[in-house]
Amino acid sequence: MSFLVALALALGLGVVAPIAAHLLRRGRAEEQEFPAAALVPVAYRSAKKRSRLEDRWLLLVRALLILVLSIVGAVPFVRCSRLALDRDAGASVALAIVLDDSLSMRTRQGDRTRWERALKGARDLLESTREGDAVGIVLAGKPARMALSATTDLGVVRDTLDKLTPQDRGTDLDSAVRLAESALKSLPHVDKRVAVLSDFATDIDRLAGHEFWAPLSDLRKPSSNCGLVRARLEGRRVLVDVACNNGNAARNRKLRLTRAKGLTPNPTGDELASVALKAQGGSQQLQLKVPEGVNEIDAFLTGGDALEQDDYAPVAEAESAMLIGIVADPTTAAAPGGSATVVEQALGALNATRSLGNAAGGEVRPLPLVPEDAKELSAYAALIIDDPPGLTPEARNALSSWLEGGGFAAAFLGPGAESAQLGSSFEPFAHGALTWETTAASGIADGSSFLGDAGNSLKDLAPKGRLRLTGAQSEGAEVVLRWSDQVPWMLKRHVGRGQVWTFGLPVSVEQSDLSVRPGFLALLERFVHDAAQTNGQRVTQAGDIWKLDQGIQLIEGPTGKLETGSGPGQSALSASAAGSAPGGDTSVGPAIVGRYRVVHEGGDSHQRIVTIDESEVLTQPKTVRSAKAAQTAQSATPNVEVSREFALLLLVLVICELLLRLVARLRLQNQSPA
Amino acid sequence: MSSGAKDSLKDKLDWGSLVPLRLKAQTVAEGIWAGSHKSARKGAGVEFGGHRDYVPGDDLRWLDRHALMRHGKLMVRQFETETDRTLLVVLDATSSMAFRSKRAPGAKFAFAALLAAALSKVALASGDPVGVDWLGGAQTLPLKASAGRDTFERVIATLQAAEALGSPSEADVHRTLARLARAAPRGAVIVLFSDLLDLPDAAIEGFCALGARDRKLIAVRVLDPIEVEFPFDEPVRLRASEATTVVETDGHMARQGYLQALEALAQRWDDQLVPRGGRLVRASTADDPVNVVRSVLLALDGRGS
Repeated sequence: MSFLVALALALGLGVVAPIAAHLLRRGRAEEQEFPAAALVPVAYRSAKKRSRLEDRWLLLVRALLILVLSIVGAVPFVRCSRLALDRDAGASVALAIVLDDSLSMRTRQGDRTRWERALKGARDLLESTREGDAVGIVLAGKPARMALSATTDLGVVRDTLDKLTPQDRGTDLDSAVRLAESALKSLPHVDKRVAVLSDFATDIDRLAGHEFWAPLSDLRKPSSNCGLVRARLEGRRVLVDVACNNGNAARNRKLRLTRAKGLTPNPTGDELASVALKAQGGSQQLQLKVPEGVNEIDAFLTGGDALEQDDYAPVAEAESAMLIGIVADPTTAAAPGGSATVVEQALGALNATRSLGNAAGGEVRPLPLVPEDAKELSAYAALIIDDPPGLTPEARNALSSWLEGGGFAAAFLGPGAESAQLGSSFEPFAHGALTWETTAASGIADGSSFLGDAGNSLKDLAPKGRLRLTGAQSEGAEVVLRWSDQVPWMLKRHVGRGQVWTFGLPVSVEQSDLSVRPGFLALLERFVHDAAQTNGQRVTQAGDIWKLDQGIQLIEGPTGKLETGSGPGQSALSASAAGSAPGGDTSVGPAIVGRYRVVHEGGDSHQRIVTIDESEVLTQPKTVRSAKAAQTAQSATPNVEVSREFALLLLVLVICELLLRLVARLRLQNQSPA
Repeated sequence: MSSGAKDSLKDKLDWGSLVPLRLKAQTVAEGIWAGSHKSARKGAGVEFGGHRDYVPGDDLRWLDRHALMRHGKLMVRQFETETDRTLLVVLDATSSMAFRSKRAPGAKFAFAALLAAALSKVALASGDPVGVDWLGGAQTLPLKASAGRDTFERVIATLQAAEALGSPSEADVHRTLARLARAAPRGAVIVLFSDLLDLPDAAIEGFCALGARDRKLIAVRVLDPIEVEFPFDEPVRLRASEATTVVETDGHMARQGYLQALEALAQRWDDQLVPRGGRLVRASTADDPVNVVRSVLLALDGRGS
């Protein structure tokens, strides 16, 4: 407490003034003997009690008046934990509130969760805004989403906050902060701020270099938690990955498998098996045997911890794992010094970093030839073909029917196209005869439009040649990327529920630098991601977007029917998905852990599983100061702006005081014998 | 009375400037018209008292033939009879009578005692026997009526020994009034000195009942000046002498109501006394005691208010 605060509050000692006046007033009416007191009008017998009561109310009101006055005097010097915008220059502020709606924010701290505390902080911030301030809301659950673009209509902001709900997503704070910065960029306000209301249970090193304000340090208290990351059924065994952020959290807890009943968690169902957790921190995999013939199983952790939402996981069936087939000639497409092809190695690298978001683990399987039987292809979610020498009619038929069912195929066409055998063609990737030619084009123009920053690395591929795709476009194909001389390089076409991607350059390092450029990895990631979203991947993490064809009738989940492309988070997802899915597909991003059922219009249905991100369990909250990201002017402790409220209270007290005096006077006049 | 008893009395009662009682009473008495008062009873006597019509049975010795010749009808002469009239003074010795404000020369009881002593002196001077009785109080010994030379001294001693405290119950009042009824002969004068505040309601009826047998009743209401004027303007807390009632009020606003209640009480006594030939005399301790005693005597003669 500063000297000024103490001085202002010392004014509160003036409260003794009305008390002293009250005592003096009462002192004048000292008791005295008067034998004829009984003749004083009876109405005045209660005067003693009434007078005392009225005086006490007056005393109370006057004492409060002085106390409130002293507080009003001290307010400009008081700082406390209630969030408010600190205005140095008094100008309007453009504020982006980054709200972390990841799973870790559902951790209970005391009587409420981190999410509820953050939401309260956001509302406090909103209360301190003024007319002219612009406020936007960004959600930092994975993927980061713009819940509300910056607006000066604070009522809309308030409504948006009211609609937000906690979710089981991973954390994407880095993208959220960047999204918030970009949201403020175009605003005319001079004072732009990004307030991050998060527990920072993520890799905060990626936040370095960003300027933001991270209030609510109470969100960053460590917690004790165990969670079920994923569970899958293999034969009669159930493999369950459990994560605990410390050993104590796992102590005296058991993993329990029950028979699932519908889409809602069924902790009271028939117990199929149970096993105690190892009292250790980190990840552990537990195996349990279940009776034969039981396919729908729920896994639960017994006992309680700070985060109860991750104590449940539906068990995924084995075929839910995503399978990617690679058809490439090892002699031409293998990486130097290795036996695996470049595409295999690239997909393996993506799997290692989990950048695919494939909770079930994307499995890569090399194929010698494109299968000529649709049944063989049905096991695969995606197929990548490198420099094929044409496709046989049987392969084309199998491919076509597989694509109709939702398959994703990509073909990197190269010089092999010129040596196509008789009867072979490149349908459905390209139409007609294809020509391999030398080119002076340096690389791909504007790759960033499709691949982000990584796309810029494709500008100088220096290819030895290229397959000319001009005139080879099948019906419905669109040109996504072009060479620097505007010749098409990448075509994309929807076939039924599936997609076909065609490239005019092989992966081989002998033909170009394509495979060693970051843009190539981004390209594969995008392809696999879209494939997984559409059909191939049945186990996804909370927040991952499913792109479903228009033949979807209904999607049900543990919270009921899922609305597609709606809600503050979902609408943002839909918008971003629309660019890459011009076919008008349905997009939905379920963000709650559980079992989902997708019903097609034909009546057939399939189940999908949504799991959590392991880091949400293992990563403890961090203090942002260690990341040196919060050392900005925005991080100053805010002033408490409550003068308006206290001024109002002061006014009410003054009115009360006047009313009390008026009532006392009227009462005395009414009781006067005259 | 021993000196110790006197000291004790002074401690308990504020006599103020009304001591010594004997001298003060004598001074007051001398201020009154000296000599015996005229008897109110008509009959055999030496002073002519007027004529009245003859009725059968009258003593024929008092037929006035001159009047017969002048008026043509039988008339008898009347004479004012000079007889001894017993004076019984009754003093209210309740706690309220011990009150004295700063403006008063003494407590109400002291002033009442002075009036009683002066009246006794006047009565004794005319040969009337004087007795004393009490309502409430402590050390209050009734004094039987007598007319001797030392009666005045006994009256003074009795008055000085009394202590004003407590509040008499209804039974106490009836007991006192019954004693008075037995002690007061026909035609006696009974004078009550009281502030009329602490007396039970039955006291009015009981006292007025003493008016039988041609007795003369006078009630002298003795109040302190502040009780008469109620000079409070600020908020005040008033406590009755027995502390049974505490009133906190605004003096200015309560004054009129109080004075009306006080007058209503006096009027009640007056209304009860007048039909029995009695009177209520209003007095304040700030009044001149000579005038008060004179008012009592005038009331006895059927004059005054």
